Amino acid sequence: MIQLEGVAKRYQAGGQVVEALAEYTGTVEDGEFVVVTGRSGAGKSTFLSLIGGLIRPDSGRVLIDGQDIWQLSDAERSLMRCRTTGFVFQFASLIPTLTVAENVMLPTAFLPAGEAPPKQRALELLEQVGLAGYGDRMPWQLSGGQQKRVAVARALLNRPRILLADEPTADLDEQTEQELMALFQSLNRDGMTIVMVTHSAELASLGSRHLILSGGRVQSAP
Amino acid sequence: MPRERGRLTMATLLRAGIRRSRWRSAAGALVSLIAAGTLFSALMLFSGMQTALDASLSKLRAELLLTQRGGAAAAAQLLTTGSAPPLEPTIPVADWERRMREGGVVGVVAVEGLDLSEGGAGAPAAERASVLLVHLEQWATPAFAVAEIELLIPEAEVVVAEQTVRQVARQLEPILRYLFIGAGVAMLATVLLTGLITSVRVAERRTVLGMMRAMGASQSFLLRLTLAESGLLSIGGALLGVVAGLFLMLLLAGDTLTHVPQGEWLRYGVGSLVATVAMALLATLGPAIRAARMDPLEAARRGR
Ligand SMILES: Nc1ncnc2c1ncn2[C@@H]1O[C@H](COP(=O)(O)OP(=O)(O)O)[C@@H](O)[C@H]1O
Ligand SMILES: [Mg+2]
Repeated sequence: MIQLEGVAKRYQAGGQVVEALAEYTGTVEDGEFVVVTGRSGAGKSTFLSLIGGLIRPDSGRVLIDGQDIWQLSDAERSLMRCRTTGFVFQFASLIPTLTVAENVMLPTAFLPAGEAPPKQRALELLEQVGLAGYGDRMPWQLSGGQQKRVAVARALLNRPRILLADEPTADLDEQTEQELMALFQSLNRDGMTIVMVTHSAELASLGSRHLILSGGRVQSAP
Repeated sequence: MPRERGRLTMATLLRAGIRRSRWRSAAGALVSLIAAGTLFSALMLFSGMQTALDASLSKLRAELLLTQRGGAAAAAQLLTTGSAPPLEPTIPVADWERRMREGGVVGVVAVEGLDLSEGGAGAPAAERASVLLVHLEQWATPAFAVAEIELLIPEAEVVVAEQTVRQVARQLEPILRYLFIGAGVAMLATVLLTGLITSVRVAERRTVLGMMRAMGASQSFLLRLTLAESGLLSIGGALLGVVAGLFLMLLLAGDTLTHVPQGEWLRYGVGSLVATVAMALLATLGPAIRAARMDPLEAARRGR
């Protein structure tokens, strides 16, 4: 369970203060599939990063399973993120000099030695995202859509309970988008908590709940 | 069973990082190569020259060297390098020694003949010598003895050991000064360029660094990763630099290098390496801290 208690975030840019997220209190229950929509600049990425503990709120608390994550040290918080949360961003950000399989295995580098899943898991995940047999290729040999799917496999490697996705379908063709959303839904059916940010209103219906962000304010869609 | 686990090691990430920007990696290593090479060369030359002078002085343990006219150059070379070109043994040892003692040259302790007919370090000579080594009392002033000897033995040329050695040392001084200035500049350049190159490496990897943060990399992990990468490049470069410096010095100043004691070679090599790598790491610290503090949102904002 993810709890946000009075969480607010402002940015200062050139003397101007941007209220990226106005004080927000809310909960994401285990097994939910929350879709967050809003125009660009509405504060969606900020919202998601606050949930994932990537940025520190100016005020308020973020609790994951009751644990205030900003009470932890950076090492503890990072390890917790590594174990519990998978991230998918708009850009795949693959490491160009690692093979596809090695890229998928990247999150294991941040786990204690004994905890890493076997390499076989990376290959299975590649199969699951429709890239069976691509493990030994280099990222540049893949199309943009394929790279994105590698990033999804990477996010799932450590068997996270929470998946946070920031515009995962941006610049994907329609079919790849549909496949990715089918994968998300099946992961969610298997119990994974998902929060997905998108600017596409059509995808909102996929989730179990829909939040709309506008000017840093969160509204529940009817 | 770490092999069965599919853990991606720091080593794999380091390899990937170094390959990522080959030219910048090479440049980073090159900077350390030049710094370590210059420092090592300077230390070796300095030590070689010092030891050569010290050794020849203490081996001869003579304050004055006497030769027949025209032999002074050979005597000076014997003094400063410990080895002389061949010189005919034409000095009647007993005769010259008697003339000095009867003439009352002040402070003479002992007189020794040296046969240089084969050149090199020479052999003790009993009757005819190429060079006469004159040992003076500590309190004796070489200049007085020289004046007296030149009066008593007009055919003799007198070389004052200390003066000659000091002259050679003075000639070497500028060379050494330039070498050490060069080493200093190379060290400074290591700090500046390594810092700059690492900054660029970090900047071009903002996205990946941010992504790694999101995947669970701690700040300390990214700090270690960045430091280790620069450290590895610097160690590689510095190692090559020491080897290159060694070959260059053997080629240009092999004679001098033979005087460097065996133990010192390793000490100077390791010393140059450690000093260079330490400088490089120091320079990397700033950019590495920036890498560690990278905003994880960089991954969300930028592409590639
Ligand atoms: N690091 C930053 N510095 C200054 N302003 C920022 C920064 N990050 C985001 N903002 C601003 O905060 C607001 C919300 O940004 P963001 O969360 O990225 O929105 P979205 O993802 O919905 O497009 C925008 O107005 C953006 O310009
Ligand atoms: Mg965004």
